[in-house]
Amino acid sequence: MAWRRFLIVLAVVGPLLALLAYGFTRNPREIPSPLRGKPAPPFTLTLFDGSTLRLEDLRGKVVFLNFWASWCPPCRAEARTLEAAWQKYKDREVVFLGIDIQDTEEDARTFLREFGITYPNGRDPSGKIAIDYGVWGLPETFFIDREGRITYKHVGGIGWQSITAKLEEALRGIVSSQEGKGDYRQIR
Amino acid sequence: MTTGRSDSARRSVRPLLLAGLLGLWVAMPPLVLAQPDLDEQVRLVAAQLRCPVCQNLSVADSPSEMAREMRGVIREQLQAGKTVEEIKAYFLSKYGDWILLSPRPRGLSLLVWIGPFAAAAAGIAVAVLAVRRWARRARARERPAGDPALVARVRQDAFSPDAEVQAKDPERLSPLELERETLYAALREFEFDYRSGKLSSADYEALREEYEHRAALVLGELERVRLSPVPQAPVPGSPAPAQPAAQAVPPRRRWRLVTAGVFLLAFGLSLGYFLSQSLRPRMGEQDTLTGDFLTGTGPGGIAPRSWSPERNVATLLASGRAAYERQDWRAAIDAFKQALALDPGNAEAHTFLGLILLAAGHGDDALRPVERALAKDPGYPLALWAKGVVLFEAKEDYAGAIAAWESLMARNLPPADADQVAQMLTEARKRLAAQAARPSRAAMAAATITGTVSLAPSLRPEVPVGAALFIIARRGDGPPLAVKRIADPVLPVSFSLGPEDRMLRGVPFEGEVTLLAQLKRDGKAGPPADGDLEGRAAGPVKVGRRDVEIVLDRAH
Repeated sequence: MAWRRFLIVLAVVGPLLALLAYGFTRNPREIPSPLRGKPAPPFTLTLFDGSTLRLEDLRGKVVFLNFWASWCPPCRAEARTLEAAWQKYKDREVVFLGIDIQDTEEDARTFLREFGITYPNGRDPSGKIAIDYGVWGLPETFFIDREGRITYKHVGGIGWQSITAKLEEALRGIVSSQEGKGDYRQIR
Repeated sequence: MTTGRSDSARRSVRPLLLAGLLGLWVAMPPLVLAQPDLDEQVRLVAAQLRCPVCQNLSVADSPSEMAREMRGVIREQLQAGKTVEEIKAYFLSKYGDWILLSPRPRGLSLLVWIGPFAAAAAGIAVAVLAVRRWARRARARERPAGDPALVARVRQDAFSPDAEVQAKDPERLSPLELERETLYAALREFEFDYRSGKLSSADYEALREEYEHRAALVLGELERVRLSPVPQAPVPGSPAPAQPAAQAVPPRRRWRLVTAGVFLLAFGLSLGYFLSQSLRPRMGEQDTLTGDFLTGTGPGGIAPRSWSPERNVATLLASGRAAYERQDWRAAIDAFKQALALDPGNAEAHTFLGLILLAAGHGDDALRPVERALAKDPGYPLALWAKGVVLFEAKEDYAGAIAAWESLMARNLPPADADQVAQMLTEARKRLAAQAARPSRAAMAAATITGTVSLAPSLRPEVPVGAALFIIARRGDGPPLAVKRIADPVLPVSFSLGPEDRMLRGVPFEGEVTLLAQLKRDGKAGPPADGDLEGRAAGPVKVGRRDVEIVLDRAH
């Protein structure tokens, strides 16, 4: 009788504890993106040099799309690596594109000057593009293949090896099975 | 007494009714009656979305910039004529289920919807069962052992035709007989209700058992009255429950109460402690609270979990790196050794220990930990880098350094690192060429001083294990030009001091120097302590001399 009662209690308490333990292993701030493998939401971006750029016009090229803000430390940390990667890939049908969100134009321009960034960048003052891409942490990077499909998403600072590996995959149209993560800052 | 049945029936129905109402109230969706104005509509949609910044607030309530932008998007889409459902679907397609404050009832989220109701229903069922079991047990305890013969008679009498006749003439009955008839009537009523389906069989059994028992007691009492010559005072209607027994709590139950109390106290205390531990002020807004490490959201996103060895190694490595950066060698060594204790093969820790040894001037020993790291992971970039640095700096083995760095360059390095390695490679190649062009061994010998260090006959101290002899060459009274360390020397000992012992590369080892020998008991370079011995070579020594005699003749 006693062992039966014990078994019953175990059958009730065990799954509850397991559920609790599972909950503790998860970070409630992380928002897994449903966009991987889906077509990249189109947008028109006004660049800092005054010209406009439509994402659709970049069809046929791989797009490295990076959301950033001047106040976000991991964005500063990765800025030089991004520019170096752009220098390496700019002749290879790859376009780097930066979108500055939740920022002032002045701060953003200072940031671009400070890190000597030469690839096209623009501001998203209303946050509409960021919401369209489900951005929640900064920096966030999307890799878009020639057909305009998102092949990989990386939240947080991205390293040289990830950039090169994922660009090569995007060039071949391979969709990653997982998101990447680095040190990130919550959007404001 | 006749109301007992309906009372108990109502008792078991009431909680169920209550639970049902509660469920209805919780599950009822907020009613949307009229089409409100645009602001109100925006708020309505936003209230159903979770804010990505603060997560515990809806987009409607959050003061964050992101929530404001999201409300702007909602407004725009409403103006464009989209329905509430379409807008929700839009956000769902961008952020996934996470964005909904009340998750869609499917997958794991289904648990959230069903779980509470299932748990409440199970809880009520368990409580009802438990209460009924307790009540039955209490009744059984109160009951003196029933006489089976009397119970059988009750069964027989209650349903016999005369019983009903008797019940029609209550005036002639004694109070005890009246009581008996009332109980019989109740038993008949239960039987009827049970047959007509108004009473469940379990309820019927319980009630019948109780009333039969009571009636048997009354019958027993009636027997006694009839047999005894002395008339007795009428017994009160219902068998008196054992009042004093109820007040004296049996010892076993008291222990249970105490255990439950202690458990509750401990539970409350631990809850209070851990809850306060798992909260911290939200960054930037000191008046609001948010979850801390226990909920997995420490100040920097995910907090290190001390119970996971990997995390622990990671934090130890991080603190070791930080200590290395600020050149706090002792703290760095501690951190990396602890990391190695947890993960003996950790290549990073081995490499850093090597780098620390190099930085601390023990270049000869620095290669071993680095090689250990490479044995674990032959392609580990940091170890390849460190191997090159150790060979370059400490061993002047430029060919080896070049080999290590070349295999490093073969890996996919970040451009900044690759630049630095390339620079070092150029430098190493230059030095290798210079080394090759350097004068022969004879010329090298011409640039060394050799000789012996001996002990003055008047001094006979033992040389403790770990002691070391230092032979220091200075130019005049300047800083040490070259230093040789001989560990655990057996005196007299011969030495040679050459360019490889220089303290500063680039300063040539030539001309005239003064030579000082120090026997340090603690084996460490530095000012002499008690018991250390010292001796000087007579006069300035020209580099290239081969027979210098130094006598340790001064004790500290």
